[in-house]
Amino acid sequence: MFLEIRNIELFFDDKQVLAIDEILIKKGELVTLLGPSGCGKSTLLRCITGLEKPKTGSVFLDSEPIQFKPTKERNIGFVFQNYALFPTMTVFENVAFGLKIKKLSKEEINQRVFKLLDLVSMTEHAEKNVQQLSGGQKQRVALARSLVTEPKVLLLDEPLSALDARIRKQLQKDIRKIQQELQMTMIFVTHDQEEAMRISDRIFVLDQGIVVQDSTPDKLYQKPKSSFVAEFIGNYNKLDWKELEPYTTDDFIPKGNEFIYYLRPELILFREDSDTLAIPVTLKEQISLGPIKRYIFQTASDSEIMVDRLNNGSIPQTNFLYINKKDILKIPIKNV
Amino acid sequence: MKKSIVIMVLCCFGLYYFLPFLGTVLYASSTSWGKTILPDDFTLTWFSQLLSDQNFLEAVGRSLFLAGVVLLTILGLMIPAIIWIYLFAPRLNRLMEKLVLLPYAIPGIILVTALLQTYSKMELPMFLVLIGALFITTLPIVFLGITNQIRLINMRELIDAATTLGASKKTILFRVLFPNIRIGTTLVSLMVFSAVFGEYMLTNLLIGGRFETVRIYMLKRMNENGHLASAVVVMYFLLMTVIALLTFVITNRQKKKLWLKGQHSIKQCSISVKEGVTVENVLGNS
Amino acid sequence: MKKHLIMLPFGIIFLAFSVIPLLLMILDSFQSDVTNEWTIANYTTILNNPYYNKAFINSFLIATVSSLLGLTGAFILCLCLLNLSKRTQEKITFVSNLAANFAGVPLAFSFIILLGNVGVLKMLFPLLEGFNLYSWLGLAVTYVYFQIPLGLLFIYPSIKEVKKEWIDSVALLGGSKGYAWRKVAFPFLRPSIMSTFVILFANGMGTYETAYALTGSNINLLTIRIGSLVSGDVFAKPNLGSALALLFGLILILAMILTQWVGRKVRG
Repeated sequence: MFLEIRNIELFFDDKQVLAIDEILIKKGELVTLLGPSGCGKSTLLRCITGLEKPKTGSVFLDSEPIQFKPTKERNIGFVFQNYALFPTMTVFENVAFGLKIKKLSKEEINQRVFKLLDLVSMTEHAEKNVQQLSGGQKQRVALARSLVTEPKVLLLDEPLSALDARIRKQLQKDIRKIQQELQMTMIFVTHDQEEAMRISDRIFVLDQGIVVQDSTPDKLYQKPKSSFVAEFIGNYNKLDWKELEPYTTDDFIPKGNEFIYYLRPELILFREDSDTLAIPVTLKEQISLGPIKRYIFQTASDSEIMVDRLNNGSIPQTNFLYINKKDILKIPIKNV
Repeated sequence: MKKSIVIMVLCCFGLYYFLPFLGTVLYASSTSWGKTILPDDFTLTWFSQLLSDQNFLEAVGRSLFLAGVVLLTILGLMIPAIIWIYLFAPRLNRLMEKLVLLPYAIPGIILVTALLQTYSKMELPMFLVLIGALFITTLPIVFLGITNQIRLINMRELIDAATTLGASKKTILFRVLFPNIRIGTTLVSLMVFSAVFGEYMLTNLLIGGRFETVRIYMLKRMNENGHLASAVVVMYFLLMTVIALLTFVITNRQKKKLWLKGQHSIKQCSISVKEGVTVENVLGNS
Repeated sequence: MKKHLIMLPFGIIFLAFSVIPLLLMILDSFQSDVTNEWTIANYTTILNNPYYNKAFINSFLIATVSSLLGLTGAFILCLCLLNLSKRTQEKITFVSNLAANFAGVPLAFSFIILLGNVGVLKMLFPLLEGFNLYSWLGLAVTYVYFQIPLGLLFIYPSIKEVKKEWIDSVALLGGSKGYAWRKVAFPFLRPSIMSTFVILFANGMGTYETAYALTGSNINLLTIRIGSLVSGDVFAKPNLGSALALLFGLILILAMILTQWVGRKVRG
């Protein structure tokens, strides 16, 4: 593996903040660390760079151990959430900074800087002072600055969280495009699961300093291993055995609190199918979410079930919701 | 920076700042200090002598009187003007913000020269000129202190809220404005008090021997009896410390209050017929 | 128009006690003390008389040295403060402001106790035997006592603005901490360092009480000269004093403009 992170333990005062077993990343992969605020993802990133020093742990980059190297020798790029551009310098000077340290010739610096400014579409702003730029522009410059030194891996710490929605979407696309073009190994940190799903090759979900699951976006959504992941990654319906058991004829839903059941709103049907469960319901309300229409039904036991459909027609009148047994996600209680 | 270096540097600074004070205290508590590291004896006679010296007490009285008069003019004339400028003349306000740093850059001696040239020939009592001079030199402190306070409590929003609830100008003045700048005014008053109490140059050059304040007394004693002078310094400094502590406590208490307020969102002002009730609600939010 | 009445007393006092006297002073400086005619004799006297030249030089030296030392001291103190908790920072700024209050007679006197002719420190450390408190160097060292707190007051807010991420970024790009401070932090701080220096310089030039308490009228300083010319110890020459004060003011304004210009130029 290109980047191997093992056994990282970090304590703040007496509290254990990181307890990472293993994170292995291939060369050229874009991996996201996803989790709620305070789960340790930014801290882990800083451990990789050396800005934070864990109590134990090893980091191997391209088969080289780097955990004892000082930050400036690790050749790792980093993009901060608040851009951290050098305030008194122009765009050009900011991007050229790393190359000046390496004492490259003026021509070479010029060439490389402009190549990168072109990549992030900031060539025409080269002579502007960075204070005059918008948030999105600043982040592009920050990206260029960290890529110009051709680092082995690029880390991005919630780089888009401070930007508004439209700029975010554009930059998500651009970052992914640049990553694929340069074949750069990247670790992206975010708390926004939609963002993670959109750009990642693989997602590592973190909770309180521990990796609870790592999969591709699709697999993470279809097969969450724990309640935490299920409730974090998607808009599942959560039901317990009492709400499903009465409608089964076999042992599919065992009596007793052994499992929690998750139903994906887009997989719930209005007609019977090959192997379905039928739940009696009444329609409570409809919410329009743009391309999706969300129908909220109420069950006999007063729970709510959401059903999502494409917003291109109305649904048939129905007193029952049908769900294929294979689409019911069972998560053991002890995995909560 | 390494923690150990930080501590060492801070200790050096601490020593540098503490030693002079220590020296003065020791000198004030001894009657003879020959060529030894510590004084020869320890006594409080100088302090008791000081407290029974008529001149000293009169000097303290004059300093207090001076500070009091200056404070009155500030409270009565300067602060209302500052508030007025802030609310109704924003361009002038911006100009003032820049001008206000000027006294730091243009020393008081120039002002003294100008004032003496102008007023010593006239019939105007120099005491009034002194008050005027102190008024000008304390302007930066008061201006910055009050405008800071106003900004902190969002005075403009409060006044707008009260106006839309139908409060009269008098009500706004007395029940919205004044209570809310009380802390800022107190702070500023403390700072002005210590500034005036510690003032030497203006007093000495404008009036001199005819109006002996504590500082002038201090200098006079210094040339006569070092021990007594040290005792004056110690007492003066204790007073300054008390004032500074008070300032510190009040600022912290206000910080805590504002932090707590930030936690609760401002509830809707209930619109009621009686002015008094509505203003109470507005006050409750501030 | 009635609203503007509040401004009236304030405005009157402001004009009467600062603007008008200053204008009159400028006019007076062009009048002779002996006769009452218009002349620039006051200015020629000052510029030609070595006694007054010395006063300028002394004040300038003391102000510059104490400002440089004060600025350096304040800067070092700031760097230390940044590493401490917020509460400790508050306490130390509190002590610093208190120390600034000590200036004047108390400071002068305590330094006499410590470093005067029979000063305590001189007895403890024979090395200091040659140190003359009553020279311009002695005065400069004394001034540093209140220059540092003043410098701290103005530099501290700006240093707090230096973001840790900038220093981290430089490390990530391969630079050392020193490089980061040299190339990123200092250029950022340059404007505020410059303006703080001006304030310290003006403060050093304009100090009266500490100098007077330490050396009386003996040492030749601008402020003391002006004071004795104007308030008439024996031979009062108020118009000469006015001229001196005006020149003094001009020098300070010049210093302000120069440092602003330097600060802006290097910013690029």
